[in-house]
Amino acid sequence: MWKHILDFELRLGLKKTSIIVYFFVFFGLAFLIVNILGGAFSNARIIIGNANNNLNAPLVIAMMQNIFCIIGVLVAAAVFGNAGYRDFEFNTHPLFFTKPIKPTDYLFGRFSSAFVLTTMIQIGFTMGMLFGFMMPYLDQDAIGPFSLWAYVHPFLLLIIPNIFMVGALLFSLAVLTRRMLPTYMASVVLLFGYLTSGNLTSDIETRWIASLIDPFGMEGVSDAVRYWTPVEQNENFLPMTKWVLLNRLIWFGVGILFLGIGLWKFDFKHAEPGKKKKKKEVKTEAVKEPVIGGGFIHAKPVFNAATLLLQFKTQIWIEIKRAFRDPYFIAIAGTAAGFLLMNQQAIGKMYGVDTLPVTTKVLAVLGGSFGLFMLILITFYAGQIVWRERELKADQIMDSLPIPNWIPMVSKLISLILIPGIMLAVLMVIGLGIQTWRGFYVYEIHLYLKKLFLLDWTDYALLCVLAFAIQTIVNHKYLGHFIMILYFLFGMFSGQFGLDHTLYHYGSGSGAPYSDMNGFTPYISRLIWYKSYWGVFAVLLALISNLFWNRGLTGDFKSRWNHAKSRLTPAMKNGLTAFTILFIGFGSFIFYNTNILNEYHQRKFYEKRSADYEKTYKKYKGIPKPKITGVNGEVHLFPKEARLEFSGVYQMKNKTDVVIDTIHANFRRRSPYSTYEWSRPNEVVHTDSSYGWDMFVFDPPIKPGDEFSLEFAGERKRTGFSNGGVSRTVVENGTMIWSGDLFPTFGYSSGRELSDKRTRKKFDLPEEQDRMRKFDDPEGNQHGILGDDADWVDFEVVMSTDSDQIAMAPGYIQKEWKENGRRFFHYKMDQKIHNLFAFVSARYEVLKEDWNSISLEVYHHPTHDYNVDKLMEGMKKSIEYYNELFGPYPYRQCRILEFPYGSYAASFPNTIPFSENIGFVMDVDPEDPEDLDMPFWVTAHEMGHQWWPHQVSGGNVQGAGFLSEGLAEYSAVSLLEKEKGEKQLRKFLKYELDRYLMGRYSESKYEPTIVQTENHPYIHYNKAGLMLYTLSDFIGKDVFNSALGRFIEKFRYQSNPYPHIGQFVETIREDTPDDLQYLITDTFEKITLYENKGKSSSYVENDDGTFTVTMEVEAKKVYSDSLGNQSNTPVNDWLEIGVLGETLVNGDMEEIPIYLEKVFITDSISTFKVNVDQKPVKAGIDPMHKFVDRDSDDNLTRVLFQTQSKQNETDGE
Amino acid sequence: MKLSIQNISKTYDNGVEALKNVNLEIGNGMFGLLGPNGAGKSTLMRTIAALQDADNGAITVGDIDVSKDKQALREILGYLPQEFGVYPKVSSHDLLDHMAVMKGITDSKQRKEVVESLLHQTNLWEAKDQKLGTYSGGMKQRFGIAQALIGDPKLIIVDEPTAGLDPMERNRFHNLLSEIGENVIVILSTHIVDDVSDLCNDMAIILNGEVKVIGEPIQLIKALDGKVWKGLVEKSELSEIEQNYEVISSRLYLGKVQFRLFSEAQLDNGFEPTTPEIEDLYFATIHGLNINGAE
Repeated sequence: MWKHILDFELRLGLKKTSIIVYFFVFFGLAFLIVNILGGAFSNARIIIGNANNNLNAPLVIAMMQNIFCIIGVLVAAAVFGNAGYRDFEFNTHPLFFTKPIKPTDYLFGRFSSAFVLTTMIQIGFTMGMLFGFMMPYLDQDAIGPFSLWAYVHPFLLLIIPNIFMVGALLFSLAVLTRRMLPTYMASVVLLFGYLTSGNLTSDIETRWIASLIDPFGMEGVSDAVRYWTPVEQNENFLPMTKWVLLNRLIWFGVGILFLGIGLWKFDFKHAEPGKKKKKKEVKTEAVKEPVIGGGFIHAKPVFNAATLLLQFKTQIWIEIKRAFRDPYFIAIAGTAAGFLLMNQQAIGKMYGVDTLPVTTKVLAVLGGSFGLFMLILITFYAGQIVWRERELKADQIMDSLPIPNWIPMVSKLISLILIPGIMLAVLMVIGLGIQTWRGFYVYEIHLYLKKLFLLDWTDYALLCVLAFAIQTIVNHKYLGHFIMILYFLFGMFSGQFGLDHTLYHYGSGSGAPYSDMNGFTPYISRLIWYKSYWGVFAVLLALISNLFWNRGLTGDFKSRWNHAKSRLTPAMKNGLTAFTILFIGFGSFIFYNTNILNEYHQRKFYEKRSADYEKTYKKYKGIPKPKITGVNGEVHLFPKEARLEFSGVYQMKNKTDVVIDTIHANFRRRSPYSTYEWSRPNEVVHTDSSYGWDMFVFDPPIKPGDEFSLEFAGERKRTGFSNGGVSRTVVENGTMIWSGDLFPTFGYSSGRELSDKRTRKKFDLPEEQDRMRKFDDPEGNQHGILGDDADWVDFEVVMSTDSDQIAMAPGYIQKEWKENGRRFFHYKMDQKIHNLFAFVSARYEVLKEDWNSISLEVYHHPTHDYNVDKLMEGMKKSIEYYNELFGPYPYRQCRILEFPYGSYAASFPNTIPFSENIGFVMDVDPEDPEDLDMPFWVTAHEMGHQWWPHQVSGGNVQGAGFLSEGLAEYSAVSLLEKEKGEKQLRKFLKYELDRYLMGRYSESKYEPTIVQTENHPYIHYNKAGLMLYTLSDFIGKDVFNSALGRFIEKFRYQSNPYPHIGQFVETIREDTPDDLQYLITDTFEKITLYENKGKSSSYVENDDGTFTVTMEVEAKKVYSDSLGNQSNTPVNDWLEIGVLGETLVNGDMEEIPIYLEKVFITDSISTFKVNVDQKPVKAGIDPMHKFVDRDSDDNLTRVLFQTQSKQNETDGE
Repeated sequence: MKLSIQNISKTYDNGVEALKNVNLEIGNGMFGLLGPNGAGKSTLMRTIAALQDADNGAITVGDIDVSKDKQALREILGYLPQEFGVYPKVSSHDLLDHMAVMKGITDSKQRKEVVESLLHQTNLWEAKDQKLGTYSGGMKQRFGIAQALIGDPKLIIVDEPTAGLDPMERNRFHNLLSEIGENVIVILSTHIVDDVSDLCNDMAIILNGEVKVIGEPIQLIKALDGKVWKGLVEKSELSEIEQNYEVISSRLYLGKVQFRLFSEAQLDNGFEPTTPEIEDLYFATIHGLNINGAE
């Protein structure tokens, strides 16, 4: 029977235009996306996944299919909801339910037809991709071989179960509630829940939870492929890991459960009025005969301005009540609140460490996950509110009331705008709740109000007006929704087509990053102009909506157009004109700011400029140039005017052994200098203002050893605002400028080249940029990694700023004075440093301590005092420990300076600017040994830089990044272990491993070995951090550290040639025993991965109370090439085996190592027998994860109790 | 006051001609608009209520030109559409009160009186605090009547108002309407002939968008005097009669067929004369019989 119903339903469904439209929309979208990916539109480029991937890599295909399956939930809601609800909607259910059909047949038939139809729509997307990739005009180099399985496999594994689960839920809701709205709501909740659940995965410990609870299986897949190399990403199909399979089973089961509930609860009965809360007994009194004519009150209506006002107020009130008393609205608000609460744990995680729930962080996390939800909500409710009367069929009565159109229109619009307002209030309450719950009582109510209501609400209000106007003008609810979706898509992708000017992006210009130090200050005037601009536009939209307001029965668009024209009263015309003029006026002002005061170009322009730069000037790369030997500067900051003046003198010297006649200067790109004078005769022979490239020819030429100077001065100031935002070079409170942004630099800079290989190809450049020189290249080692403009320099600066601020730069204070109500500071270094300085100024609170004749100072924002003692401690411990390892701290002071925005810290000699988002607001639980002390950690790392590279700095060659970042990272790892213990170290190294492997996953070119690293943070931070620790552990900490000490001793402050990583590796090798030399090779010169596994383990209890554990382990080592192609290699290696036991820590049972032993393994399978004192729980190989292993979860196995008698086993438990 | 409809025509986007050159003059009192389903009654009423524009022609009420000054029309209009919904989550009292404001009853005390009296009049007083969503069809219809009467409308348009009412309520509604209808224009559309014959002092029959018959019911019937005959035959004989005579209507009666026919000529052999009724006029019009030269 159900087959018959299915058959009938399918024939019905295939005739429906909506199904066909959905199919072609999905097909078209897929086709379009593939075309954009493949470069069919010359201006558009999007990259999904890794830029190194084939565009049609199985993984990319799977991800895209699943993303559209998730978006397709909204379509599924329509199809499944319709299948379940249709008979109730048309009141045809009595016709069906009285037929001799079994309810299960009826339901199952309906469900399976909806399932088939939805699957077909989804196939539309898959086919769209498939055909898209076959188009011959696409970039064929980027498209891998065709594989049908790549499309079919994810469809079977992900899409079909997803449709089944979602469909079962939505369908059951529709048949059980006999309403459509719950179905739609459920789909929105599902989508929203999905979009926020990603936050759970930030902590590596909880990834498996996210893998399981993701109803669409996406997280599980992402987790399983997170360590894949580019080769694997291109070639492998979706992995069937246990979490993926378990996830699929769980959610398939959930689908069956939903369907089961639907079948079980459903029957053919007529819906009886629900047993609501006990109503007052409706008394059926005898109907009194009406007295004809008696009691009829005649009331004369009054129509005047007061009436209008009253009508307006009444109408608003009834609209609002209807919107907010709606149980669905309450349900949505409640759901949103629930998700927000779930999200709170994602506030500012870093290496699993929480940030303090300061208001700005809370707002960022909560508001961020809310944005998309709000868009959906507004789109949806705009339709509901505009169409409410017509859907209730109350429109005729309401439309014939003697009120002008604007009364219902404006009231509806206001109640729509209130919806996001209420949601934001909910968000605020939750935010305050989270702060309270986490025991953080520094509520910044003003910030909540400003951010949520002044910034966000006005944004959403604009969106409300747009959605409302579309619903009104289009006059078709679902078409209106669809147009809104197109609008969102335009917003998302228009930038890819180069359409990125704010003037035509409705609602744009409202972004304003908040900083505790600097508030919203730099953005306020920009905000006001943009809000006014779009506000006026919204009024225009509202006026047009009013003209097109639908009242009574309206005809086609032509007749509505005529209607609108007839409504164009003089007042309306005046209003439209006035607001159009305002709109143009505000727009002109914005244009003046973005395009005239500031530079605006489309992305294509900048790409071309970079390409031309490379084509024109690359020939000057590496030509001999004189070097800066001394910098004496002045930097005067005017924070309130967002302006600075600077000047300075470079002492320069020709350190080469050739005669130099030309200097290429490239600094005038940002803004011209007012003074630019060389101390020797010269002539400008070439000026190129678009690249800021000037050539000075010197006559007489500069002979080797010649010394001379350059005097320069200039000004930098904020002029209005730009398309992208506001210049933050100088801000009101918390300026932080890198010297390279102000002071002159020379020659060709590879940093300005295009890096994406497909873009390079477009401009006829070689696909790959030049690599850095090999580490032992003598020419490369003539220059330092921090730039070839200078080696070590003398430095001196005078800074001035507002009288309430402190201005700072590296160096010791020589003099501080006041002049003209401004504060002046003179700083000078008494030894040579790198040619890299920071200029900082802010209103600070200062913590100062004299410690071992070093002045330790923390300059921080007055309210950010949570962790200053940790920073202090970090400085002390670092100096103490590094002194011992690497020689004395070379300065008499050490200062940490807080600056706004960003989230990084940078180490300059004796001066370390720290972003306000790092360290200062971290929440470290001192009781929890596993809670990584981030402020301490960051300080330790930055302090490490005071040795590396501020004492030993590599040349401009491969591996130099390792010498500074890698060794600073190792210094911090080492200090962390010493100060914070094994637990924190383990946790930290786990993250290092994870980040290294993730970095390999997203490597877009090739993975280098450590000696080949250029700019590869995942290697010179994360791989270096982990592997240097492991090396030191195997070679012996003392031996390793003393080698480091020798290295620094030998190369301190050396330049030309600069030291390189080869010398470092040599130094380590000297102290390494022969049987461990391979480990140095594996670490530095190869990409080495282990695939170690615990096979099995068991124990027996000995008579003396000790335990003997027997374990069988598998050791496997592979070498990978730079693309991730692996080759097996025999194991002849030192590895570690271990046994874990359980112990009680703070009331929780924790697993701790009770036996660790380094063993030399030569066979792939080895068996070990060891004795331990404590009852063993797990045993295996590399239990502490000291080596790179992509699956480190299988290193240990549970130790089984081994005995002849079953009885004993239970006793032993 | 007088409602004057001149040359109104309306063709829908799908090509259906709903009104063809309709002309009507309607004065104070009850005006019945009879016609089968789909005849164009509702279109005509919506057009008068300014909910729909005619393609051409003009409608004036007193000195109000409906197409030009819809607001003025709405201020004197009471309208009950044929099929309508209400806000389900609001009580009838609250919604009536709300609509009273919309109809310009701004004085709250007066509004209270009006609302309460209407609730009494429509026998909804007991259920006034119940949400409209819980109302039965009849109760909802009564609510519709109540809202149409707020604010002393001068032009009341009620489209099939008694559908869904039980006989007692219908009766009561008729009384109410006829009382109000003395001084204002009431247009009552229906396909129940009795409603018109009971209540209306003027009527029109509309068919396929055209006004076929117009006049006072009494006069219209008078014209049929002596021309309507009835008879009773076996079912098998009916077709023969239909071939020979202009049969107005027929229905089963005691196993046979009772029929009425129109004949200006005197008939005998089993046909007997009978008093003409509005129903005869209506059916005759619908069947396209030329009975009194109304066209």
